Amino acid sequence: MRKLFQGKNLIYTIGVLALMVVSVVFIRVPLPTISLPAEHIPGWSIAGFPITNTIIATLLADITVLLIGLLAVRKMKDVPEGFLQNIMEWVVEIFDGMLTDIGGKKKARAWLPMFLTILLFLLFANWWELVPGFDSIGVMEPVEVAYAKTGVTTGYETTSILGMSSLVSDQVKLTEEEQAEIKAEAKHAEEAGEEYHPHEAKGYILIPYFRAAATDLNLTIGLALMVVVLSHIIGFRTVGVKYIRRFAMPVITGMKPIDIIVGILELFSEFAKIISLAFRLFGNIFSGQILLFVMAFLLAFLLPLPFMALELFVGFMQAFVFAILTFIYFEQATHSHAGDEHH
Amino acid sequence: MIEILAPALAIGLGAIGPGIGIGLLVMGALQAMGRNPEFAGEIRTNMILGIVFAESIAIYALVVALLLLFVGAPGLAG
Repeated sequence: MRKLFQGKNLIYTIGVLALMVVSVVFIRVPLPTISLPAEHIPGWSIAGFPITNTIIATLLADITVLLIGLLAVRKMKDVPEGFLQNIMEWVVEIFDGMLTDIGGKKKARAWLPMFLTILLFLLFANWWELVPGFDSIGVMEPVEVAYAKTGVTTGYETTSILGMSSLVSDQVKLTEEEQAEIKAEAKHAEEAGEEYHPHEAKGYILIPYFRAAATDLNLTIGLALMVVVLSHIIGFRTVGVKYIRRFAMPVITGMKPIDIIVGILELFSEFAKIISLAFRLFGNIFSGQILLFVMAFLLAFLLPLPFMALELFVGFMQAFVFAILTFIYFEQATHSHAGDEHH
Repeated sequence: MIEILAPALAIGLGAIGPGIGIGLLVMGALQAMGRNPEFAGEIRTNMILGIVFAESIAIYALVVALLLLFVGAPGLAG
């Protein structure tokens, strides 16, 4: 602690503190308008389907995984030389060992590609969130239009920096009369079959081009559904028709009453699997995003740094947990029913 | 009033259980590490995995709170 206030370090310390004070006074970051569903980017659509910012982020994560995979095997050698090939071999070896510990060599080899695909995809999808420009570059939308669409009442004033417009932290709130007026005008425009445009924008909100892919429930529920359905397909292929027995289909004779109750519980646990997988990922990444927003809003300089480190960890952990649970569900599906031997 | 209280109660009450759970989990892991320090690495990995699972229960409560905050619930005033 004493060294901080001696010689060169003193200058750095004072500099950092001065920057913090300056950032508090002059560089106020507006709190972004947080919306649970992904925002449609105005004017972007393919064949009538609106493009949301999470779709773009998902494609970005896809491209990252593909590029890294392709670059790693471009000049493949028996003794790896390139940086990427070394890294990828290390990753594959670590997780191959881990899966072998859980499910044995045969299962590990069979499902390692699936495991690593989910892991790497979610890892990059989560880590892209920390790159500057995510959640902060986008289209300005008048707050009136946003109110007509989603009911947002708070916008921000804009300023021009280096020829680009930027939000400033001065809030603009729509009054009750204005809200009623916008409602009437939007209804009028809808009846005429036109898009609603305000005469004069009072304030703006930002619709970013990129938003972390896992903050969209469509992605997480889709992935969870895919994993659970796939686990049943794998179960049917390895165990056969007997696989249905674990869900206590009463049509199968020779079952004790306890089996039926256990089976109903099993059936419910399948739906719980989907929900828990989807909401764990969504909740962690979405709350992390809000945490970063709020920290940047409180103090734009230096304060978000430790939270970014935390998000780096959370992003990896959630990707890993999702992937390892996928493997465990697959592994459980291949166990034959415990009572099979007695029947 | 209730629309402010509802998300606060959802996350506040929902965090109690996982908080106790994570405390117990880390206590067990630390005791195990103290008894056999040679397995500390392995125990730590499993501890973090367990913490993530316990924490996800709090995250479900958080999701409910966020839903109440940003989407609202039918029947809630405002």
